[in-house]
Amino acid sequence: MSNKKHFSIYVALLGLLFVLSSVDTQAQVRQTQFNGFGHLEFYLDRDEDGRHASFAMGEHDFFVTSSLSDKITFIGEYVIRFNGKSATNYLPSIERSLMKFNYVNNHSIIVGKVHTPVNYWNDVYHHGRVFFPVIDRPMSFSYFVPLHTLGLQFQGQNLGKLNFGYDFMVGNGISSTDVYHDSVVPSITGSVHIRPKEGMRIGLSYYWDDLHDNVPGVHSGHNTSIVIPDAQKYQGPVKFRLASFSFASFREKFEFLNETGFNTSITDSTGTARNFSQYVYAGLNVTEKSTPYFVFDYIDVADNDIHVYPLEKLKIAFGYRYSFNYLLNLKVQLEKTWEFEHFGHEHTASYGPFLRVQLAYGF
Amino acid sequence: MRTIGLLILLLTLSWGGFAQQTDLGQLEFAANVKGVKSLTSKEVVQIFRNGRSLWASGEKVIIVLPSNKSDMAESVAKNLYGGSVTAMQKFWLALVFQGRANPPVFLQSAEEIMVYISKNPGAIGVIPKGSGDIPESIQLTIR
Repeated sequence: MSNKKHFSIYVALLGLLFVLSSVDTQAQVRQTQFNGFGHLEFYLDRDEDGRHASFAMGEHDFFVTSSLSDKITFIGEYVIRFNGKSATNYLPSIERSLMKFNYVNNHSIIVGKVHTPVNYWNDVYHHGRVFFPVIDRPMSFSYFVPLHTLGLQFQGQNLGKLNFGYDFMVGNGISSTDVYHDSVVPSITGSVHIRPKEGMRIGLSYYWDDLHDNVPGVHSGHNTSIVIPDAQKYQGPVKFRLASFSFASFREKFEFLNETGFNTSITDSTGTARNFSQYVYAGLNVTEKSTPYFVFDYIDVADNDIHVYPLEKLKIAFGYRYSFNYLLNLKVQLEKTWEFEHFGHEHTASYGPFLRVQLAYGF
Repeated sequence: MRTIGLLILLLTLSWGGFAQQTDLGQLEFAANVKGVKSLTSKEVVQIFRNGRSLWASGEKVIIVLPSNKSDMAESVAKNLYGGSVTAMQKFWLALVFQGRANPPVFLQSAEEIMVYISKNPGAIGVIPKGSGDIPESIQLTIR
């Protein structure tokens, strides 16, 4: 499809949103809710320099939702996190900022910056650690998952007997920022899910993005497997594709989450790199407050990948979560990581076991 | 092969689990919605689980629940959500945070709940049976 055609579709969709939203002009019930989320951590680890026992200040998240009318809602999520390069040691960021127009029952049009609905984790937990079943995100979030998209989204939920849901999105892709996209070809996300039982969600998604230049922007958390000076990094175009499958079941006694990702990054230099990630979480609710759990987290980046660069890594963790109430929980996690390949060098190195403790809260 | 076997076992376990029980007979409902005087029990449960964002009339669905400090909260959580007050609060906070639901209105007393519903078109609320009088104009019958 030509760039001109993409641009025309984009403009037409924005026009449609304007027309639909202008139909609902009379504000009836205005309701605004503010919430905050944060976490503190303690970790005990060991590297070449010896042992470390550190307390750490985690992200602090300010969340706002406001009904501007019966059919229009604003949602914002703003995070402050530690950053040693900042003059104040902290940097703020807008993680979500969107307007949602609920034009007919359970169908909405969303415009703004969202967490790309590619998998269960990215669509549900956002930056609220108090909702995380474990201490941190799957490893694939650092390499494959396009965390954010700024653009236009069509969403449906709770449709039919199986509670079918869909998300279709066009927007700024991986290499763009919140104010600039380096081509007229948007990234495209298509995602569907069903919720056959209360607490259960099964989903599939496909993400398509042609990066004009291999420059991860603010819309991904993509890292390279090792620190590579900018001048030595591959700078050319990348055809980035990601297919994901999620199975989540958070029931009264047993919790289970599986996130599977198949990614290809295609370049003229090294061809098609086929990558894979697999994340499994299983928890047993011994009581409503007490949950021992297990994590299996594996990632394999192919030898010819020059978006992330080669890597093969496995993390196993055992943990325990104690929920004081729905706004406060304590997680204790013992984890060990194995690295089988790193930037084309095959070797097996292991790190850990490390102890991590997290106190996550909402207010 | 062992990994796949373990995954299948975990999926099987998570498919089963404990069904969340509801007992609507212990509750009374009120709604201020054009043309809605009765609903089936299935429809009510679906609405109170964020199954509907707009009524057929186009009004926004506003869920009204007893706040966690109210004496009525435990009965509503148990009989409508099949769990504890904490689980009910977590259910709604998580949905609101995901951007998939508007926040419910939590109120302290049955009287406050009835006044709020009467004044706000689209509102639907619940109280335990016998905990307050529901004005006839907003009474909702469960079929």
